[in-house]
Amino acid sequence: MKKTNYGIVVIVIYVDDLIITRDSDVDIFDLKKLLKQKFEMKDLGELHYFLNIEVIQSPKGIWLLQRQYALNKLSEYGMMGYKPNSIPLEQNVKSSADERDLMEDTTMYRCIMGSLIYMTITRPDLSYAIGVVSQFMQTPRKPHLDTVRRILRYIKHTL
Amino acid sequence: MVRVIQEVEPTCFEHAVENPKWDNAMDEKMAALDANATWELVALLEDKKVIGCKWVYKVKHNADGSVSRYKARLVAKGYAQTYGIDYEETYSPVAKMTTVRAIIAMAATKGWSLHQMDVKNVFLHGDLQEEVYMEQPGYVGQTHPNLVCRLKKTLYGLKQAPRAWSDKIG
Repeated sequence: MKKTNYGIVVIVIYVDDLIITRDSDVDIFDLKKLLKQKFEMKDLGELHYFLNIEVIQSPKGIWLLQRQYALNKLSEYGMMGYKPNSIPLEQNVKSSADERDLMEDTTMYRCIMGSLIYMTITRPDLSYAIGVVSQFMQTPRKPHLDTVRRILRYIKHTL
Repeated sequence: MVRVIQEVEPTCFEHAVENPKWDNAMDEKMAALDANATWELVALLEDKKVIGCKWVYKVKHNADGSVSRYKARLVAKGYAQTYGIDYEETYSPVAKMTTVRAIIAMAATKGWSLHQMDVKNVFLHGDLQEEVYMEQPGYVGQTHPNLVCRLKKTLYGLKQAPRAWSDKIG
């Protein structure tokens, strides 16, 4: 972020993705022209999509959505056929110490957790439930996976 | 509707070179690397180490599932690099998600419009400080098969590639 004689300029850089904004709309095209002189760049116009987040700009405000991301993840984890659920977490989740409940493939659990944590960017309503199940990342057991599935079914309910 | 036939991406140069589409993609990439002066061909001194490289192929799709582009990317085998010899610092900052959200919130309250751009061939912009030698990529029409590439610019896969890029724009 820089305050110049011509106003405020903000450039957010994420490796090769740039978000640009400034206080005067007219000058943004000059800014883009300047940037294009420095590096070979593609102008993607108004911000619509950034790091899997959909951005909708309107005079009323800006909406951030991860609907498409959530749908992709639900189908990736084979959850599309499951029944939606209006509550993300049951009361008093019991944690299991039973050896038989240990999962052979723990990678899946951690992958889902990664996706869920990413969804909290636009979905604070998921935070508590995710906080509970993320305690079991080290040694996830089958009941924990059920709880995670419940969160995914809740997400399906809210889409 | 999902794509019924998915085109298979070749896993090695020997297969790709037989297909004109991929051969074309490699030509394009080589032209970009050339124009960018990514490396110079030199004779290798005895005590220097050479790292390998590999072509990686990717079919890019449009939103409707149709093929938009055949993309070939040349990556250096950065895992063969040794700390202190051909790379030093590797840390590279990126925007935190909360920062991004805060900026978007600021734009919303001020009524500013947000725009987006992306940098093409991002890592090819990075200037390489260290001495890195890489074997020549598989390519038709090599004129000096005995020489190696002394890298001038970073390539994908190099340990210091993201760092060199953030130094450049910093």
